Amino acid sequence: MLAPTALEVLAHIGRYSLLIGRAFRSVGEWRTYWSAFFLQAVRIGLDSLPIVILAAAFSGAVTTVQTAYQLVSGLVPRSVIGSIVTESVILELAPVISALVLAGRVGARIAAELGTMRVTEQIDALEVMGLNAVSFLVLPRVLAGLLMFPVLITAAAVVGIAGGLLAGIVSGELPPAEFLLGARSFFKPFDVVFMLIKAFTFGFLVTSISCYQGYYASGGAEGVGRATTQAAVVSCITVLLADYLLANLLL
Amino acid sequence: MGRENHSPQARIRVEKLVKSFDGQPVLAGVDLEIYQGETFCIIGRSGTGKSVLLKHLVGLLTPDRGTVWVDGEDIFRVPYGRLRQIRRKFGVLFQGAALFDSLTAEENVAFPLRMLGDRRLGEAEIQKRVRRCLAEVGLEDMGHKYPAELSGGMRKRVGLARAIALEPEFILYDEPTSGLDPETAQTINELIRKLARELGVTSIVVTHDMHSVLEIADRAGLLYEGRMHWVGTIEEMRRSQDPILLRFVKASEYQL
Repeated sequence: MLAPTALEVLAHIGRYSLLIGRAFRSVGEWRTYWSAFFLQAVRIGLDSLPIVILAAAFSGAVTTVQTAYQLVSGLVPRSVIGSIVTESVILELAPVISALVLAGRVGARIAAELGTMRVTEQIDALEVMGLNAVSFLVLPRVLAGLLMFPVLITAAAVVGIAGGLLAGIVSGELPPAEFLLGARSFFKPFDVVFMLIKAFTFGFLVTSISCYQGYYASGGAEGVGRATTQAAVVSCITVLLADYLLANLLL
Repeated sequence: MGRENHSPQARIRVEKLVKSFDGQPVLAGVDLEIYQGETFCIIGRSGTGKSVLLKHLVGLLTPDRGTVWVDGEDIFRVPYGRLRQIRRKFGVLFQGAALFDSLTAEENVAFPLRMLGDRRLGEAEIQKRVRRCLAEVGLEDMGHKYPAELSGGMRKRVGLARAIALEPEFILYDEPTSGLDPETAQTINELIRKLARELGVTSIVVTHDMHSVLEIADRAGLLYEGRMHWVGTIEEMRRSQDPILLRFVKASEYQL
């Protein structure tokens, strides 16, 4: 893939902003989008739960094993492992790994769906009926992302911590009582707030970027393929960038 | 909204429409008037911008210069909300029918009825209208099928049923017979004629199928090098000595 020039990136950002602005313009007609919103909430949320939970459980478990391996010194109490795993999962692993998984799963799906609708003129058909096609297609998906990403990422955090706890038991390195002691001793409620802020941000970015890629797809099957790849790639990159920015701003 | 006094009966007026894609000019100043109740065929070779012109009539594309008036309203200067209302005067049959593939034929026809926000119809009324529209195109038994289970000709007929669901005043057809066998194409031509007659709609048909033109058109216009090169009735077409028109007609192997 050729790297885009700075000007092209700016052009994309401009067109993206206009599209999202247009999507929220007819937000007042919520009745039209209500059922679509529920459908998307199920597709983005419920259907993604297994893969998100799987990724979270393993990342939590690996963190426990790896932290135990790195803290071999007898000077540090083993319960510290519990606090490191809990903090890592809540602050970074659950939101970022889930968002990257969802960029592939949800982002690609949205872009492929909208891209196909674009190249088969279904989007034109919506417009001609007098619907605001942008709102009709983009709004339910972005709102579903805003609602479901926090839900999924919260579930991922719970499962990730449980995975870490379980790995401690299985490996025999860390009894659950010590893990939980460590988990509690350094826990700050703001960590959860920070996680939710990340979740909202990632939810908005992944769904809106994927909608943009799909909505402006062109050039038949190949164009849809390109839009789908772009949706996943650009979503991943912006999630990582936003992750770094938020850490800098809020921590 | 600027209302102007154009010739009283022209319902759609295309004015010096210019459009290019990536520096490639497609429309170079198209002028055209469409009158109440007529069936107008836009003809021309592939790639001359017939479909591009059609999409400008409902504001799906925005011109570089020039404009389109629908019933005295400049559709590129009205607010978006008004454009959406103007669009409801139109039904469009897209080239590939553009059916929503996750919905059955029935649901496709019902879709615009369910979505129109201003006058909500009861479910019974919607079902009645859907059945009537599907019967109109001769597909009353196919309502439960998904687009993927229908043939190309049937998809176009469902697309047509959906286009007439909101009782439009104009129907636009984008290559309605392309990719169909001659017999199915004939069915579509008959449908176009029937709808024009029964519903009193104004029809605009983009096609390169001369057979279709002779079957359905009241008037036709030849799009050539970005302009309306020739416009006239079918009678005038038969008598015309215009070399470019003759070349197009001859190439279609149809004797006028």
